[in-house]
Amino acid sequence: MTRARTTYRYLFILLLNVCVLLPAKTMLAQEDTTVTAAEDDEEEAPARKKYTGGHQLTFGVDMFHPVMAQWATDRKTYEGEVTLYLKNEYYAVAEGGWGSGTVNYPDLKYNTNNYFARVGFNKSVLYRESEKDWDLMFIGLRAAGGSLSRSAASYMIVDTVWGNTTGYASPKSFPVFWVEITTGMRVELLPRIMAGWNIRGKFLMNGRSFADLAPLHIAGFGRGDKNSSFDFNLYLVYALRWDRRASGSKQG
Amino acid sequence: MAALVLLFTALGSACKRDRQPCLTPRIATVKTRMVRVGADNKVVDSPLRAAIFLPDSDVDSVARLYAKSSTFTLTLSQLADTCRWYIAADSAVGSAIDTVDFRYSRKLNFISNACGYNYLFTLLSVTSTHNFIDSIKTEDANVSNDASKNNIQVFIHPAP
Repeated sequence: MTRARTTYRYLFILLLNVCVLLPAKTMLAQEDTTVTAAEDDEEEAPARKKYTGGHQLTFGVDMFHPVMAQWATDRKTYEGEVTLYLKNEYYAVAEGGWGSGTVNYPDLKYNTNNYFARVGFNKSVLYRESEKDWDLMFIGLRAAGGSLSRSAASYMIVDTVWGNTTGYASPKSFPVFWVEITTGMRVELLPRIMAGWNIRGKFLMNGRSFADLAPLHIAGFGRGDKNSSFDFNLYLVYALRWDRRASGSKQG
Repeated sequence: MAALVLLFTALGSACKRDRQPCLTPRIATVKTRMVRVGADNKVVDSPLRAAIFLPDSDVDSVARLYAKSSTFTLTLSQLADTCRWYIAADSAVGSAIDTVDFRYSRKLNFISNACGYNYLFTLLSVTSTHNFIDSIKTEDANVSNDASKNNIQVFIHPAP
């Protein structure tokens, strides 16, 4: 009995040692490898080349909002983008689109339609490693504007004491201005076919224009009754490229 | 591909936009305070023991019976520029009853998409009979959703 207990005790200590020491050894081995790899990099890694030339014109369409419209049927947004590579990893960007919104509550009903355009730039934060490498991760800025038309809004004010009131707010058109910061990426899936996403933070510049009835949806911006908005796009892009041979490479 | 469909479905469900709850009062009310002039000429609250308020409305309105209080809220008609309330100082039979007439201007106001529209009012005059009400003073003529501002002071006859 005592011998069996001693055996179990030694077995427990052995297992404990294995559990503690094996991961520690693995960690040490990884550190050694990392240090060795870092030393190797310092000694052997060649200087990376940075390509900044070439010409690219892309045409993209947003796939995200049309798909979302299948669920959120009260608002629609269709948009696309055109980008032109300038130089030094800067891309000129023009975007545009249109959309609509429907508010159909028991006490408030109206429709909105608007179109919009954005101009700005993307700056790639990744080096292009070859003249064929057009993948990019970027940050960008946009200035955006559009025109929104709102139908007559019918309303009902419920008052159980004096009686309900119904009426119409006359139709109106508004200019809309906002600015955006964006980040995203594009990856070439097939030759000349790219895909990628944008995340956008948007800031309405003339929100006070909507004091008499803030539209629930502004295509391209988001909620009209908020001064800031967050949005996401998923782009499918076709790229035109030319004059590849002239795209000189520079040492980074 | 399945992951993409799942992602879109999840995002679609998340993006489905239900109407947000309305957290603002939809009806602007006249904040009313019952007061009397105290012994040292100071204005003090004068609670009504069991006041009854009845609107002179075409709608089948129910009289409001209040527990002992010196502050009340009255609504104004959105259908006209005048309205009348009957106020009984007490629910006891034979209690004094006064009529209070409001004259005002109306302004349509968009609250939000969650709440819709309401009317804001500007009091032009408030008059009454004088059974238990001595006089009415307008403190703030702008009748809005702001619950912190008192609109009128109703001076009650001092108790005999």
